[in-house]
Amino acid sequence: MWKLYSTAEGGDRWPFWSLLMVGYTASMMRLCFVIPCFNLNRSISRKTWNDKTLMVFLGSGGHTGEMLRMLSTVKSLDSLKHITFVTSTGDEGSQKMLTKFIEERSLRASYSFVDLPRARRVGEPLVSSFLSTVKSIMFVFNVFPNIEYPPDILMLNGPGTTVPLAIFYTFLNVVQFSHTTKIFYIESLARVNSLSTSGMICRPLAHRFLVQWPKLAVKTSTEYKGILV
Amino acid sequence: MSTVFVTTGATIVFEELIRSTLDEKFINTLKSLGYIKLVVQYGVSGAELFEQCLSKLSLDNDSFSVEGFPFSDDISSIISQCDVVVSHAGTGSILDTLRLKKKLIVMVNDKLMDNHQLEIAQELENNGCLLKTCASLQGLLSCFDKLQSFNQHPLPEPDPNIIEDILHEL
Repeated sequence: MWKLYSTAEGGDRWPFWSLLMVGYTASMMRLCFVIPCFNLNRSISRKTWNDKTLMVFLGSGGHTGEMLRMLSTVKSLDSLKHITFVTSTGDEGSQKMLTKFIEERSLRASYSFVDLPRARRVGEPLVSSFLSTVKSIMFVFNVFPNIEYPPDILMLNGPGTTVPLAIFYTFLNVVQFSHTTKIFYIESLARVNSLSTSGMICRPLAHRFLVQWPKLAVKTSTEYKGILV
Repeated sequence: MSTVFVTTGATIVFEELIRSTLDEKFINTLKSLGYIKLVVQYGVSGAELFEQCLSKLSLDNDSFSVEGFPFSDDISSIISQCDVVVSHAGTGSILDTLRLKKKLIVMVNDKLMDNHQLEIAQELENNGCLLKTCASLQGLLSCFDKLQSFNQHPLPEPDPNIIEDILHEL
């Protein structure tokens, strides 16, 4: 083993190790700079509103309702460049609510839909939900690199399939130098005393993380801006 | 007006909510307080239970009517036509009702595993925004009693600029 480190035979191993060290250090620095929880990069977006693309994930029922309520407060939603609405396969309830939202609002921004298989059913035990999350992650990594409008902002609010999306865009942020997707996570109103599992996983990955109850914000060191729905 | 609306949520059948709101004692309470209509949204698989409970009531020559349906795409318009809502503790139903400023009684389903619903029902009860009961007829009746003198605090309205401001900054 010692031979790997020794430079006794003309030092032909040190370039490998020093390159590895440099590579490793550079990767760690890149991670620290990109992933929001390290707080090293506080830059504000240089893009104008009309140039921004938004991706919104609509999980089941209550989550979709909350997300659409929040979106309806955004007066300038129509002048975004593009909005991608992501729903789970088979979630007709959310799709209906979304159609209604678009109609009632006469949404004029260009928009599109993407379908994702569910990561985790409500109350699914940890082991099988881990497996279905892995399946979802694989799907996301397969399909999302090719979507038409890569998002500048990804809005998430909690249900299972949130996590694969957050992981994917964090990964892209690390490996891509030309583009950053900002992750905006809002925890459900129903979470009063503790974060959801998705919330706990997404917290270090989100650029802004909001909860809707002040005690919870203090307990988890997250942002509170009042009830948002 | 003078209508009470019961909503059980779309996913599972909330048996106790359907049974208690279609119980003779509850109906009589409603009648004595001047209500003339009960509308029940019983969920995708609740039809059988609803019919069963309905058949036990004797409403033939009555001015009091009971209606039921499995689900609706436009719950809000139904809520706006009633005075009181008795609901399961789902966030969506609670929000729909409180945002339309209707009086709300929430029945918490203790049969649900991991009762996360309890948190929001409890917190909003503490804030005086709704009345909460466990899944029983007695609980429901006692809540309805309190309802008459209930001074409901409105749910604080969201700041309309927060989300937009954050999206602009990001």
